[in-house]
Amino acid sequence: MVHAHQRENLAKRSMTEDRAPGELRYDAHERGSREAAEGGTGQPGGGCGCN
Amino acid sequence: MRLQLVLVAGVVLAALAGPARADGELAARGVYYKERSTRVIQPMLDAMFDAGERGIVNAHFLVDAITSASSGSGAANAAAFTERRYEGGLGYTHELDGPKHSFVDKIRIGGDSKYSTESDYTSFYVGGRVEADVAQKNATIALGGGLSSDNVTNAGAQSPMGGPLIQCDVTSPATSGECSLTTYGGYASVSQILSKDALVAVSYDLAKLDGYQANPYRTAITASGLVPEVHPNSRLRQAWAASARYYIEDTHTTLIAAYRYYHDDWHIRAHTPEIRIIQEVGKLADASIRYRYYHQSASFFYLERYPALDMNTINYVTDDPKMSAYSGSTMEAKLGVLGEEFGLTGNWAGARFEGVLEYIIQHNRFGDAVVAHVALTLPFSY
Repeated sequence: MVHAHQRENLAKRSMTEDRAPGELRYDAHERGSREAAEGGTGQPGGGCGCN
Repeated sequence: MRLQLVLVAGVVLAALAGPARADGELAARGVYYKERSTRVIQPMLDAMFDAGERGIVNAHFLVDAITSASSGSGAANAAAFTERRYEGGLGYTHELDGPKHSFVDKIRIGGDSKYSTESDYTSFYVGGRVEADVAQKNATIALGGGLSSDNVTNAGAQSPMGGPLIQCDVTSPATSGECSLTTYGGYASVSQILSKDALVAVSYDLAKLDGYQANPYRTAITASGLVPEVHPNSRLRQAWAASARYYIEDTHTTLIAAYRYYHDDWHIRAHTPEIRIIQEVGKLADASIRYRYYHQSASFFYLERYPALDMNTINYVTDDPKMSAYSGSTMEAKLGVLGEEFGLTGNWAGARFEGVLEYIIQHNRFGDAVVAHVALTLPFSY
């Protein structure tokens, strides 16, 4: 068990969300238009327009 | 444009407001993508701010300006075209307020919606999710699901005679100018803290697609001539992913490793390992590198050249490079710097300036690509 006062390193940006929402969204969109294997990102896609 | 005005108004109100009561973040990002026959420029705005004591609102708006050699993505020969896609999204997350230490008090619920439109394709997505922190916040469990409703037309055809009629249903002839696609999706994920320097996460995604999934402008080469693309109307997609993060305190370095396995009932299997290394540079900057490998097998109906077709049966044919077996690699370098490093003060001291450069190797007809991002994230209080 890791207690709250021991989580200084876990709270760092690099250990939580090192990639911004816009960067992740663009990455998923780009992959969706160039790769057949979508998914694994935690949310269905849509609106690719590149079928 | 309306959402942009709302976001700008929000920032102005934040600046004019009295003593700080809540926090928010506004981010602007521009992306440039270039490959052999396609160029994309995508400016976007993201906003996130507190709503009350237990709520968080997030919103985004973006424009895709696409210039490509063909409206049939990946097609070998056609006239160049330019078009724009507009996308807006809105989400809300609420932390439930139950009795202290009760299970209800550990739960967050949320909803997201997204709308995207371009000349020949519209898409609307709505979804919900539930998250719970358990084991004294050493683990987080999340469940979510959503529904996407898409509509595709032949409006992007490059012929003055109008677009080709579309075969919405593979069992019926091509008689329509527009078709629909409905996607039902769900996911589950778990993350677990292992030590004060390490954590792991696993996730599973499932999506069921029903409707038109081909490209109305693309044709496949057969021994009987060029024929319009026909993809199955149904597809079941599944993806498993796992990741681990480890922080090396002595060097202020974070190591991230991830792997994803995908398969669907079109017989496509894909493996995607990825590694990222993030190095803190002082207290105000970080630099990172990323390597991602991707390999997929072909769909069961992909052929480079099809034989003469038997018109008495359903013939699935495609000219989509995404349906072929191929592999590729992505190499990325990123630099992030806080405004304080440049002597900025106030909210600007916490602003993050970011630059990203990617090179993508694609062993298929798309060819290699380069991607560049520049971004600014500005925190604010109101």
